[in-house]
Amino acid sequence: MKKSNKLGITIVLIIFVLIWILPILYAVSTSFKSELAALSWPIKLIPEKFTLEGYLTPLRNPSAPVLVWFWNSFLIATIHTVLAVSFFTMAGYSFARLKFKFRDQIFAILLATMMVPGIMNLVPLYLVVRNLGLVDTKWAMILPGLSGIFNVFLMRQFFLKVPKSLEESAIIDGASPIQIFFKIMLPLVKPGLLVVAIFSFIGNWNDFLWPSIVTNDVYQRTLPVGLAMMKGNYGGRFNMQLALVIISFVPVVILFSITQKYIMRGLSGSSGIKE
Amino acid sequence: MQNRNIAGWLFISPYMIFFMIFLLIPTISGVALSFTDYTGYSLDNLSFIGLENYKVIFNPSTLYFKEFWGAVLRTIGYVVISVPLVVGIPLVLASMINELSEKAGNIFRVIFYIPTLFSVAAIGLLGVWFFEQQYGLVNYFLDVLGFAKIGWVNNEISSWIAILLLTIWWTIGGNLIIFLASLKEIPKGLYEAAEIDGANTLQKFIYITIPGLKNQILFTVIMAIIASFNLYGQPSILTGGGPGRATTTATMYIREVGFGASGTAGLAAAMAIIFGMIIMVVSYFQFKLQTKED
Repeated sequence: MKKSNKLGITIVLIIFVLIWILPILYAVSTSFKSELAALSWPIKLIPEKFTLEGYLTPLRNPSAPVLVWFWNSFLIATIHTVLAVSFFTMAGYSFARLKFKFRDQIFAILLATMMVPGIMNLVPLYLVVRNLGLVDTKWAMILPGLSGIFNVFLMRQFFLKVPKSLEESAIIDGASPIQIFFKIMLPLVKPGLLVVAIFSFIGNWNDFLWPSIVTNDVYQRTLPVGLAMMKGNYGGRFNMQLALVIISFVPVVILFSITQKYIMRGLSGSSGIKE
Repeated sequence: MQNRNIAGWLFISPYMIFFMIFLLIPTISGVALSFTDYTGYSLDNLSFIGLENYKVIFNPSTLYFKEFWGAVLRTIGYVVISVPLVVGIPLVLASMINELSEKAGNIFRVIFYIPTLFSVAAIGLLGVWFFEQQYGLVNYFLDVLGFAKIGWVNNEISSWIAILLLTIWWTIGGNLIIFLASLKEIPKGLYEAAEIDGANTLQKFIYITIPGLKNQILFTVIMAIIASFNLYGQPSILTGGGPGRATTTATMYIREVGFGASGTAGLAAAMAIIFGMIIMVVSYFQFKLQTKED
């Protein structure tokens, strides 16, 4: 690689990086400005006076209960993730390693259903959820996502990679399928469990269209649905809008920094999985 | 063996219950609902009306025809423009980052990934501020660089550019990581040999990098096609589908028809089936096209 070439690449990349990072820095900074300072020109990167007004005003507003939305989102995403990881793992193991009647036929139906675009389910899914009496409850946002096929497929791939000999020797020793699952298989697919857990959590935490359909009660809303309403509620009050953006951003950033290694591995691996 | 047969069923049953209730049954009943006058409120007085909903959708004299196909065409236009960008930009960035040291590369990688951590609602709200005419960040940067301010969401073209820029900024980090991971597996020797043969940067990119990342490009293109077809959150918050109908996407319109006050959920189910078919056909041909050479 020629030296001049490398310099050129570095300069182009630095320009791109600035475009990617500056808006976030400006957004964080503006969330700590007063309402008036957030509308000042030129936009200053460092606020002249730090204030928590942008955060406190929305938090004190009873008609827009941000903390309730935050708690709803957290609870829904957590319960969803626990159930998702359990059920997807069991199903993935079963499809990968247990032999039962119609297994391959059932799996073929799953794969065929995976091709059906989600939009086709929107109207009938609402009908199902309403008939189950789940509208305006957290279950409406926890349960439907448990039908996702992709993660079952992903877990199955992880189980397929475990050498068969481990299982066979356990069977000879008289271990039951349940013992084999918990004692031998689960510890070996830990990276897979983490990838499924992280993606389930983030996917559910960020979901927007579906929660906006199944919630009418303002106290049952999730953070994304609440945030979307804020364009109207705090129109033009950018310090408050941006403070709400930051509030919703911070938990994901924390989760990301703890689990970064696994997210990167999951993303890097996800494209190779089809083979 | 019998033991394992029962265990197999036992292990899939919790998942299968959810699969049936929330995916299989809705998929089938969606088709059924599209042949009814289902209002979206109650199943009482539901009657089968045959192909009536489909006739409305394909009858050029109805407003539904105009608005539905307008939304579908707009969405397809967005897919055609956005997919090459959300795959191509990270591909070029990844091959540039790959030239740098591992340490620098890791820093760049993380920075590009950060915006993907915003939820679509947060991205929409950020977009409102970025593209605001008087006090917005993008116009501030334009101003600093000596350009005039733009009323981004006031006309069709600039609204779409705003949605596109916002989406590129938000999403390319994921594809970048996929490409970077696989670039490491292309032997450096290939590039060195090409250099000795006098290949320039562009030639190396076209003849080594792209073929080397074939599977990853196929995967990201298909994911991008699906994501772009489903465009909903960014325009619904940033532009509200406007000005007029200029940025109303198919998903936004189906939601409006199916869950609005008009009581036309059966019609929306039919629209969703037609739009879903379009997505499936496009994805199928894309897949065929990209895997043809094998």
